[in-house]
Amino acid sequence: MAALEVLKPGLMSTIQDGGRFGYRKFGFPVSGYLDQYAAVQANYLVGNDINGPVIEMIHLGGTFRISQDLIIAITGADMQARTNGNPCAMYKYIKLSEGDVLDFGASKDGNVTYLAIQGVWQLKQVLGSASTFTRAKIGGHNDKPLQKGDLLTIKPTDSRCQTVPEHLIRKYPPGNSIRIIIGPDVNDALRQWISTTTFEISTQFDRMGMRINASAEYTGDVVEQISSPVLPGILQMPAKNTLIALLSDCQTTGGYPRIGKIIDYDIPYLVQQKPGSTVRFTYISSEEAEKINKNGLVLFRK
Amino acid sequence: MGDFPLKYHRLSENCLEIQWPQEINPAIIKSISSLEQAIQKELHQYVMELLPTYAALAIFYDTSSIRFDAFEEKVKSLKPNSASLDKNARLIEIPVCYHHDFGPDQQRIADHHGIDVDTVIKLHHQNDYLVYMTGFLPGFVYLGVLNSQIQMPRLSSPRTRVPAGSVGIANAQTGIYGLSSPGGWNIIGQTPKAIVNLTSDEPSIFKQGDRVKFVPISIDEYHKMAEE
Repeated sequence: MAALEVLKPGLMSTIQDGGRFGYRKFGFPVSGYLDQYAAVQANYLVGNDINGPVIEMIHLGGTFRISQDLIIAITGADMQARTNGNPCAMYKYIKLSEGDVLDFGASKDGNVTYLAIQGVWQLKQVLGSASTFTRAKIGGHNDKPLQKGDLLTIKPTDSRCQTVPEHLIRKYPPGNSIRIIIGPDVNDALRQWISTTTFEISTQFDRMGMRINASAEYTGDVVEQISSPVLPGILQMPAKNTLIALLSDCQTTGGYPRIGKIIDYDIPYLVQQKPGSTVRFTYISSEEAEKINKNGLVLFRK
Repeated sequence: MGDFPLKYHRLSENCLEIQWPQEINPAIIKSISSLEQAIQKELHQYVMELLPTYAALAIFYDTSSIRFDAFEEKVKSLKPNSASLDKNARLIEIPVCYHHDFGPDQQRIADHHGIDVDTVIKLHHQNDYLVYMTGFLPGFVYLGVLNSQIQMPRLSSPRTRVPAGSVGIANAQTGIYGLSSPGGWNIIGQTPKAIVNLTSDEPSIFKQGDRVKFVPISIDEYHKMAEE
């Protein structure tokens, strides 16, 4: 018995969970939520395991027919969700009934939206995770992004729903400084350039990474590396006027200079920036990063 | 860790990276593998995941069990023992069909070096190779070093789909595509052996430091093995 049917999948809608850890040495990326903060909040609201599966939608959301009474929560970018044509609140748990239609439009204030549904999702685990990794065709529902006609089965639970206080709901206004810890392939000149240059988010964005253009070209030397470890949040510099922020589905190794690592708490902010937004980068110490990350996730620590 | 000067970096909130000199060198691979083994033996209670590459080792550690500085000190104080590595070294035989249907770039490599295709194939499988690294893409394995007479730069425009099991050449390296994916390596053959197993806890059959021997097979043998 299915819980919901995909009537329209949207542009790129996948099932993601907390990630596929332990297999990087074999070339498997961790995958998992792009905006971990929003995804965890969605699961928290409906009383699920906070690292459990959710539907992640990018740029344009899908349309779903609900086939059993269930409880949902929507977080992340505002895709103007509606139930049976009526506006549907975000950051709240909502009861839906059999026959309801839930639809999403284009994202207004970000890129990525999460739909959590209360219960135990009946999904095949691949290497310990239900996350869809499209390039290798593994995980999610039938090893693919959601398709029209997909039926998702979710075993109801009666876990307790939660609320999220207003001040813990993150907004993503453009223009903020993104905090990074220093990367191994940075010299003083490069560090100076990164800290003083304005960058613009490009249209090239997917689950692997986001390309970011510099307003002024770097003119100093760079350190090239033999293929070295990389991970989500690493900022690479493939050219003297371009950065790539690596995201959940990024490759496990790369040869471009690694100029920094966006702190965990700020990755969701970057992920939700639309093309044309300007951002800056600020180096902070790893001790400060630890403190910010810890405070940011306070809601979810038991 | 022998005579190599090592650099320690914090690559992320939960990752310590150790860098060896930036060169492709079998002695460095051995040094990395020895340290990896020592970490697995002595510090496993702190370690989530290890990612060795050509000249670096990334160690993902559990930030709730130890502070970064203390962990770094523990790693620095390890005394890796490369003697035990040789006992564990494996030689893995990989059957490869070099039939021209499976080797769309054989002729280009031959032309590039002014030799014939049979020589390209012979030079590819006559020696065994060291596994430098697995990764980049799931199950992709980087092997070296290739005979200089068959080295070849990557394709200037990558193919949109290279089938799983394709054996390719890029500069001084040869490698095997674990899963079908886009790719720019020069393809010279195909193995019927599945090198990625998604239901195993060790989804790739290769580990850094293994040795690999390509064994040529006919197209009939290929089809027979592929069916099994």
